[in-house]
Amino acid sequence: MKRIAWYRVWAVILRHFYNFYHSWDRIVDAFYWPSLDIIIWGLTISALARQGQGTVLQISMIVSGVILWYVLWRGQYEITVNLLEELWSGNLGNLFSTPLTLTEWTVALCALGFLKLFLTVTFTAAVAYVLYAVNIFQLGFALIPFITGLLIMGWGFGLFIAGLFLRYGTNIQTLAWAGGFALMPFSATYYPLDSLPHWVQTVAQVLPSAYIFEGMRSVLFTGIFPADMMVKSFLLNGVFLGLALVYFIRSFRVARIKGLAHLK
Amino acid sequence: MKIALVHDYLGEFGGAERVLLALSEIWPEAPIYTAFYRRGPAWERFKTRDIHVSWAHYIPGFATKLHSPLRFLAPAIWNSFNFSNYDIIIGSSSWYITKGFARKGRAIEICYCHAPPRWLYGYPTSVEWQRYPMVRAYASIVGFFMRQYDFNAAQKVDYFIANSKETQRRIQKFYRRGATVIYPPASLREALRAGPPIRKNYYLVVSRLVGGKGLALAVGAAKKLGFPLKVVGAPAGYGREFEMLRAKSGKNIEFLGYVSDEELAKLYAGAKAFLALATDEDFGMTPVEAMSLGTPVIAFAGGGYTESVIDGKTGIFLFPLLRVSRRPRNSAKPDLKKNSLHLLLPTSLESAYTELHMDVLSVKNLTKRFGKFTAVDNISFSVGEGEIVGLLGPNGAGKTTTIQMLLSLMMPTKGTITCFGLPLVTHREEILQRMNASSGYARLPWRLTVWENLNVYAHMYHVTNRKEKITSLAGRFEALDLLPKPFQDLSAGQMTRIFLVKAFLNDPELLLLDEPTASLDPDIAEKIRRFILEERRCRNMSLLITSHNMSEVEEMCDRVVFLNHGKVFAVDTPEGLARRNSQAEVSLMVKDGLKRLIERAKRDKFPYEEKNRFITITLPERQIAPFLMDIGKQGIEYNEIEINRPSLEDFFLSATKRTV
Repeated sequence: MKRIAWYRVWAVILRHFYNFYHSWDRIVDAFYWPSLDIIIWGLTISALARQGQGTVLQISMIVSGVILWYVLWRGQYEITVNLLEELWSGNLGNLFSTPLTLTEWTVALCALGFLKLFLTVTFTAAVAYVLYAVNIFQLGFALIPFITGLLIMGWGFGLFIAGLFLRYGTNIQTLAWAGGFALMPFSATYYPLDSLPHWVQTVAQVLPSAYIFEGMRSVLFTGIFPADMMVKSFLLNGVFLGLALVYFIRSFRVARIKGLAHLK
Repeated sequence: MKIALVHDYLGEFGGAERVLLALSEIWPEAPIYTAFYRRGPAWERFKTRDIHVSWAHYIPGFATKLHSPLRFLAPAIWNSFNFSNYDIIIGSSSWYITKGFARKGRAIEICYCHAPPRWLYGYPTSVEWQRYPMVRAYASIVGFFMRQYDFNAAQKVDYFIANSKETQRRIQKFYRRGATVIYPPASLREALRAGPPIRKNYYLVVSRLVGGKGLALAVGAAKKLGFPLKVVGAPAGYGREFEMLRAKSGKNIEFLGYVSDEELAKLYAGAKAFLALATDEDFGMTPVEAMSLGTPVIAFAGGGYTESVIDGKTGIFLFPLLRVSRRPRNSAKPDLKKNSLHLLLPTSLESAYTELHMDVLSVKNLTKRFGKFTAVDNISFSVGEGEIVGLLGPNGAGKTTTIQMLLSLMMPTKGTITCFGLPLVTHREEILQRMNASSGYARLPWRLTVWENLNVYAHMYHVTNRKEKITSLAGRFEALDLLPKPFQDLSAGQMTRIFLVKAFLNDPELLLLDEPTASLDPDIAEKIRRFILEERRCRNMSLLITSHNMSEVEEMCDRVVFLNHGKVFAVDTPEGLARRNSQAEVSLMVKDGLKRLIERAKRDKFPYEEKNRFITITLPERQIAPFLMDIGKQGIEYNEIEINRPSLEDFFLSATKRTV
């Protein structure tokens, strides 16, 4: 593998920083949707609790689920939307007519995802604490593998969708925002896995995210960190990320056969 | 402590004299003892010093012609000096056996040996005296005694200093003495006060114009290959070598004679390469001077050159014998006598020359297919160093597809692209770092300001002085006021200028310009053309340009590759392509004899158009002169004449029409 030139990685990050500066919606989206989700779900469970159908622990479970879900979504979103930015502005050809490599570009997009994730998690954790006294950090050190696993899965899914864009262009651009939500029902984000229909459970078994959300609930309810689930999750993540990378690289090759500058 | 400097003689100002100059600068009070002097460049440098000449100097003709045949007088000359008052005698010794001085007391003798006398030990000399039987017989007798004298004199030396390991080896071989190597000084860099000049395309030789320096080879190669060669140095000895070289030379070869240090430094620094072709140089200071001023050296792989030139880094070695040894296993053993150095060297020089003239871009059998449609069909072309090549053709000819493949944005179906001698497929990053591109139709992220966009690309190319670079380039393209504007607010012409700024950020060695002046006002387009040509001149940058502006191509391009339907239709200079369309137009305002003129045009089957008294006749360009002479003889009078010679545009139109 060729050595990464970090100044080129920084150039890509700088390009998107400038973009964030001129498009506040690209920064606001780091806070707006997660906060809105936390408010809606928190109020819903609070209302149910007042009717005797929900508990404080359930509020904690749902709100923590929302925060962690945005880890996965953010990882995927930054890769796909930043690729779309290049396609919309016709800049992909310019970028790849420089010595920039695919690896450097991908590293830059993943780094951007990580930076915005940091903003999202910090802000939404504060909102959850202020509104519902839910402290995401009560998950303790377990948060590190949870966030790492979800971020990797987000990156993997993001690369897969980016691969689709490289093949089919912006015709399927909705996937950039909505693609990640296809995984949500099977990830058991807000509810325990065993409360779902059997076929959903079968699908969930191959999703790394389902193990992480189950693990989160285990820590919240019992205080036990399910190491076996985490191992399974990371193994699956490794496989998915590897497959996603292969697909992404192959898609980039297909795009280069057609011509990167022609991609729209 | 009293020191005396002793030097062969003062004539030309060469490497040995530079050493003497350095010694006399270290010990300015030390007198210089020498056999004789001639007024000339060396004398000018030393005339203010305390110079002592021998009795031989006063013999008429000795300093010019007699010192060589009367070389057996050397022992008598050196022994005539009285060095008894000195503590140290430093000899600067070469062919005149300047060593082993008679001295009393405890004076120490240090000999800075430039080389043991070449004529005594069978090395090539400045005059090919072996060619003349009488001289050969005389030299072998004198040489027999002088060799013995030289050996004995060497034994009297206390310390030997050699100017190179090669000379150290020879001192050991011929005198059985050890020596310490102190390389001679090379300080021309200081002479380059005005800063480095623009590098040009000529090759340089700096040498006394005598035999044994490889001058004939350099001149012969320059004549054969047609490269410009400048030869610096004055004739020495009988001047026969100079006469012979001048007889051999052509228009591309200049003999500049002796030049000042400042001028010499400029010549070194401006040369494409320095030729060091002596087959047995003791050290060779001139290649060191060339390298110290950043000029690569093409050197014979032997003698002292191997100590100073780093093959592939500061120069290229000619490997005649290595080439012989690289024969196929089963082939017959080469006849080394037949393939003597002089036969093999020109071939090697030719290879080195080709290596230096390596194409910056080479495209071979490039093909791009999209399904059944072939956009680019097996094209091959090249762009040389400092060359501007136009890629022309009608819409859909395959120009943009080709440029995209050159930028690695599109994978070819077949064929190879080589840039700077490296295949693009395996050295993409290295190559793209050294090139750049601009397109009149490309776009940058529209929300970002122009400055931000350029800053991103400056980072991408690792430009260190980004702010200064962007500002200075924006100034050159009259785009300073555009820097704070969002890219989306720019007009098409302004975007083109910003792309040109981007294209020059990394000082590219190869620039691909797709319609560089599209959408630009004529005055800005003209300024940009000037800028591009100036950059090419200063940095020897190579360019591949596509344009629909034929006059622009005619003005800028050295060569044109004409594409049509994805194939190379023609490759030639713009003038050459224009000439392929041989038809010219002659417009006349006829005063008298219009009818006769029309009859004449009809008779010759020249198409014509006539209106009032104006007539435009289309005829082959070469027939214009006889045609005009003929009508003059027929008494046809005209007041005005306009001749439209075929242009590149005519070729473009006819070629496109033909292939459609």
